[in-house]
Amino acid sequence: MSEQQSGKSVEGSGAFQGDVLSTYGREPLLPREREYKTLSAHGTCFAYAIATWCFLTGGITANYVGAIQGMVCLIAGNLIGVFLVGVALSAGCQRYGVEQIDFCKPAFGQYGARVVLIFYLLNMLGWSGLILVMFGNGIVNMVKAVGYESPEWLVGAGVALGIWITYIITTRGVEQLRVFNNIVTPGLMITIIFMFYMLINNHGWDEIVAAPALDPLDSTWMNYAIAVELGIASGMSWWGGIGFLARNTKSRRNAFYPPVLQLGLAFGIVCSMALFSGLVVGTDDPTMWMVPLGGVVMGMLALVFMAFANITSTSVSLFASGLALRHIPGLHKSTWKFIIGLTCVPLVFFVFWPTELYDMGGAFLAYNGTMHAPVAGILLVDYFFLRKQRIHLRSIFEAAPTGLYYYWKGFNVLALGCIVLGQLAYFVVFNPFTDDVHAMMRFVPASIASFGIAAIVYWVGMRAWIGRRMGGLNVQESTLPTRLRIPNI
Amino acid sequence: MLEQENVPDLVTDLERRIDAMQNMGDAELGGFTRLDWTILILISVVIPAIVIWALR
Repeated sequence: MSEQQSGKSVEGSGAFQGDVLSTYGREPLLPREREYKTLSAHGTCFAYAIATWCFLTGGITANYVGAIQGMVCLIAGNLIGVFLVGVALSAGCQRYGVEQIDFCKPAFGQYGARVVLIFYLLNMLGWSGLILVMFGNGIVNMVKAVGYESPEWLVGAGVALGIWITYIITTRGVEQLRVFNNIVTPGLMITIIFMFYMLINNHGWDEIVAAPALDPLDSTWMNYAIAVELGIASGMSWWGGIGFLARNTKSRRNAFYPPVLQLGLAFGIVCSMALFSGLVVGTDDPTMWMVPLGGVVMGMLALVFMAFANITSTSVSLFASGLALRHIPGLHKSTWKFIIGLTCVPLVFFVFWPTELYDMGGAFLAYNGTMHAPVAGILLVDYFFLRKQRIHLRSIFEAAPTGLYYYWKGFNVLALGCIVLGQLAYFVVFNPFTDDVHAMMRFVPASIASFGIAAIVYWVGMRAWIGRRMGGLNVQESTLPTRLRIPNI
Repeated sequence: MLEQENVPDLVTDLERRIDAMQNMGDAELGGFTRLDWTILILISVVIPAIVIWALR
């Protein structure tokens, strides 16, 4: 890992090996260097999708709706969410071989893209914290399953242990993660199929369908609207993963179809199985389903495996967060261990307040919508409608103030303003922290409102105002410099 | 973003990649026809929206 990270030339004459760049670097990937063909693109997406966040998402949805409505919300909502966040990233990152934060620069500005980076990190670290609490809860339930009382501090101690193990794995590099993933993905599939078999065998489909929601609001339509929103928002939380995948695919079809079919459809189906378990067992905590569903021996085995899977999921998140932190100038030359250590710092809050933060899981899931929906709307309009799928690649890596995507001091205030506007629109329609729902949400989910408002205002603002003077909408490519002045790499 | 012990090499390599990708034709990166767009929009927006609406 250290040699790979050093960025040394490995082919001579200034060329860098493709797999090193695809894993650690930001340079545009040439088609011959890209890893994913059809099968591997679907396989990788499937491995991303089938992780412990399925259990969390399904469990949280069980609070609001029953089996049929929940299944529709999770599958259909995820498909919509993945498509809306993924369409511009799939097209642009695949066409130019750039990763997602760099792809944001034409719209948000050379430094404005770092605001999106913050959202990305919040998303990654939020998921990591929730999964680590699930790891801690798993330890508590194992202790209880063998007949002991569990002290209150055990969940927090479990989170601390999880952080430590994750740190060790993540700092050992991507190969270690791949080995873990190769074991965890099929293992999780077996666990899910086993859970589903036990559900059908012990309870039957009729009981699953008849099971009431765990903690619904008084209004039926509000519960359904929130569940739809959770589905769309969880689809939107794949924002970073879709950009990474598209950059690494050789063909355009492989950049578009695998995210929709695996991160949208397959993820929605697996979440639905978790939803059924939550409804039947009567709790949204996935670690409490295993023993009631599988009995003590099989339940304990499933819990041990879940703990293992939780560590792997967290390691993947921390790895992605570490890569994202490389965008920050002060961290360009930091060691990988230091960067991963830095990503662990916010997780310490989950050691001291595990239950309080875990209970906010539903709000966090919906908050993914407020973060990614306006960004996705802006990127879609910018790439497809304003730039007609043509960006000036050199300007993405140009940090000089004369650069095409420099705007004002590196920030496009219109795009950033549209994010704020989109987030406000989201909170007007639905406040995920208080579950306040506006009547409008009967017809328009909050993330769709946020996506649409940000997209429209950005389009109008760029056409009528900023795009006339900056952003490169009206510039002939032949008039632009052919060499970088201040490279941003 | 790699740890940059050899920045001039990295910039030279970056310039080479930028030129290669910027001058590459769309066709070299695989086709995506109107039929693809239709299928994609149907399965990921139209049908899901109809199902969500029908179950309200």
